[in-house]
Parts: sequence; C-alpha cells; structure tokens
Amino acid sequence: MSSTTTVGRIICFIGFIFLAHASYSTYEHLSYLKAVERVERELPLDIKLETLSSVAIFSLGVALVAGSLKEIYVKSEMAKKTIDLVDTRPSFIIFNHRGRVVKKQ
Amino acid sequence: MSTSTAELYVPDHIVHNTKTITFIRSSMSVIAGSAAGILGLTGYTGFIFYGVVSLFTSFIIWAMKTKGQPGKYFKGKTDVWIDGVFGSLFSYVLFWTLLYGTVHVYD
Amino acid sequence: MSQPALAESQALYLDPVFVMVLVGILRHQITLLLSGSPKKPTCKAIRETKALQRGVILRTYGNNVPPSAFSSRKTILTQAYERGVYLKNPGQANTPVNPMTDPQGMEMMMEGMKKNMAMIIPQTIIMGWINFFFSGFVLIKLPFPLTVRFKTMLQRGVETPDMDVTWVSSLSWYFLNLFGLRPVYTLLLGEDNSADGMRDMAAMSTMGMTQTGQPQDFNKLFQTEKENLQLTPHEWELDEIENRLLVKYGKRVESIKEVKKEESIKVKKEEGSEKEKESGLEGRGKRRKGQKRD
Repeated sequence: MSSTTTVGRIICFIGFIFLAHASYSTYEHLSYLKAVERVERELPLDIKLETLSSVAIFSLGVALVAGSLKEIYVKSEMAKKTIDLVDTRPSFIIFNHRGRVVKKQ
Repeated sequence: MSTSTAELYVPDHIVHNTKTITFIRSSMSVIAGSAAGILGLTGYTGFIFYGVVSLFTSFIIWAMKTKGQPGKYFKGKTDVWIDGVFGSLFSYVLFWTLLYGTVHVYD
Repeated sequence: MSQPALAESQALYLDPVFVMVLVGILRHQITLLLSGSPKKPTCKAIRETKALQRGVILRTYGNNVPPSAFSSRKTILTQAYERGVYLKNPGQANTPVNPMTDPQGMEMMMEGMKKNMAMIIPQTIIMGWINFFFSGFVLIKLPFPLTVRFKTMLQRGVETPDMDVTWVSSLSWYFLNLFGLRPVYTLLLGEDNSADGMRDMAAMSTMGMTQTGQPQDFNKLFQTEKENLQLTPHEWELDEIENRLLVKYGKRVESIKEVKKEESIKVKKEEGSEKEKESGLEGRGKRRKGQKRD
C-alpha cells in the first residue's frame, strides 16, 4: 500500500464521518420538527452544505485510493523496457559455456 | 510484422484502467446515493443530482487520474466521461432509497 | 396519501440488505473453496497448442528468415500436422473427442456444475425466504415516483388500490438489492469476487456454450493450419535490402532492377513518369521502415 492510498483512505474516512454526522443531524432535525409539530420541507443550510462537502471530500479520497492509471500505448510501454528485456530469445541462450569449468575449480 | 491496431495497445492496461474507473464510479455512486437520501431528494431532483455528481466525478478523474490527457489512457474520447455511469445507477438508487427510508420515512 | 400499514418492526427493510450482503460473502468463500487451485494441463496438451502456435508464428513472421529456412520449416510443420505427430493421442486422430470419456473434460463439466449450484441455490433460497416472510405488506418507500403501470409489479400481494406507487413490497426491494450491491461486494471482497449474483446470471448465458461445448478437435485445427501454411507466400525481408537502404537515406533514387527496366522505358517515355516512379519507391521504403519498427 503506497502512501497515496493511505492518504486517500484517511480522506475517505473524514468524508464518511461528515456524511454520518449529516445524516444524524437530519434525523435529529426531523425529530425536532415532529416534536414541535411544525411542517417544514427544507432542511437547514448547514446540513446541506455538510452533505455536499462530504461528497466532494469523498470523491477526492476515492480518486487517491484508486491508484494510478496505466498508459495504454505499446509505444510508451516499450520506452520503459531495456534492450535486454525486449531482445531476449531462447535460441541465443548458451548452456555449454565456461561457467561449468570455472565453478569446478 | 503486421501493423494492426490491436497491437498498438496493451490490453492488460486497458482492463486495469477500466477497473480503476469502475471502482471510482461505483464508490461515488454509493456516496452520492447516501447523500441524496440524507438530503431527502425525490423524483427528478435525485436523478439530476446523480448527473451532477457523475459529472463532478468525471472531472476529478480527468484532472487527477489522467492529468488532463485522457487520450493516453483510454481508447475512446468519451470513455472518461461516460464509462460506467449507467452501470452504477442501480447502486445509486439502492443507497438513495436506503438512506431516504432510514432518515426521512421511518423517523 | 395515507400512511400504509407498515411492518411492526420499522427497520424491517434492513434485513434483506444484511442477509444479501452476508450471503454474497458466503458465496464468495464457497466458490473459492469449491474451485480450489486451477488444474495444470498435461505436458502433451501444452505441446498440442504450442505446435499450433508455431505454425501461426511461421506464417506471420516468416518473411524475417531466408527462403531456405522458411521452406524447411514449412515442410517439417506441414508433415507433422498431416501425420498428427503433436496430437495428444496420435492413435485416435480421426475419432471425435467424447467429453464423457476424456477425464479432463469430465472434470471441467463438474467444475461448471459446482459453480452453477453455488450461484443458483442461494438466490433461490433468499427469494423464497423474502417471499415467505415479507409478503403482504409494503416495505419501503421509493424516493421517486413511478407510473401506475408498475403498481401490480411493485406491490404484489398488497391489495390496496389507492396506495401511492412509491411504496413497494419486499420483492422489488430484493431486486434493487440484487442489482445495486455490487460495489459493496467490491469494497468488501476486492475486485474479482464471485459474490455478485447479476454477473453470474450474465455469465451463465455465455458459459452454457463454452462449458457444455466439445473440447477443441486439434486434428481439425492442425489440418486447417497445414493448408494455411501451404498457401503462405514467402518474401524475404532482406531481398534488395541494399537498394532500399540507399533509397531510404537518399543516396540513390532507383534500385538496380528499376534502372534496367527504366532504361528500356526511358526510350519511350518522358521524365515525368520517372519522377512518379521515384516517389512511389520512396513511399515503399518508408513503409518498410515503419513495419520494421513495429
């Protein structure tokens, strides 16, 4: 697990706490409205803002957790490889070489 | 050596990218559904909210994951914006309903 | 809109969600247990496929070896294909493969059946359970309205004509769970989990074909490959490479052969046709170069 993933997880956790708090606030608010028998459609602004900001925080966190994308072109992939990696083929492997003699001595 | 289009791409990387995007999208759809349920959105508003969040997620992917160059990571030009949006709609509806029921209906 | 008769315990709608998540995890574990480690193919089976691949490779990259090497390879491979040297059991080259007698085919069928069982049984049980315990009352309210046409489907078992369509019964909630729980499984169990019911259903239609289908008849494949090989023309990459190189670096505008031809043509034709030829040749050189690099 890289450090980016850890940071992403922490951010996700913060977002989750915000979301949980927002849901509990909404629940409290609705209970309160019911208790004083007031009918009000709109939620208070702070709860709305908290929910929306939790979504934003979470999206950042998830993007960090997800790990990086890989380039799909063979061109860019081949640029990273060394010539030994690309050009190896079984026909050119020599088993009968001096290493045997060297090791014996 | 034939020059076909299939050889120009690394298939493993395409699959990896699609998986990553799907992970981001499905996680976001769960969170967006929960948020919509908490906010008590109903009807069209909820679906519009999903569209807005999807657009925001696409922007996040575009800015943070592809670093503004989606052509390097995806075959199609619209893949970053569209891929997996409708696939995770059901998760969104599920969590929307779940949180809506928990917070607003059974209080 | 009147408040309909809700269940006594108000959080009853949470039960199917919990049960489905847990059953999904259980399914994942059972599938892991049943499938075990993938079975290794035998040495001869590998040889069979590799022999076929050799033909394909020779056909694609044959132009990179000299004509003598190509023709000797071609001869050996076509002979081997014809005689069935590389077949798993060369004796029964012409008898069709019976999946019942082939022990590996049998094992594959058992694998498929196990997987089918692991996916069908839990779905049936959950659906039966939900139908049995949660029928007759509405479970949850959807946050979005649907048209009245959905009423019979979503409120099955609840005979109240006036109720709002947004209230739905347990079965609809079950289906919503079935479709929507995939990311939860992904978060809990990782990417390639086998907990999701919907993916299995999608896979079932395709699996029916490959699982019960006959294993590949390699004798037939060998015969087609033999014909393909015989039809493959050979044009060595190094033919006239000197001229192409010189043309590529601009040291020469025409190849030797072309010069000879051109001399005879020159008498009849003007300079313009020569220019045409030159540009065409250059294009050819570039094409070659591009091919090499790929």
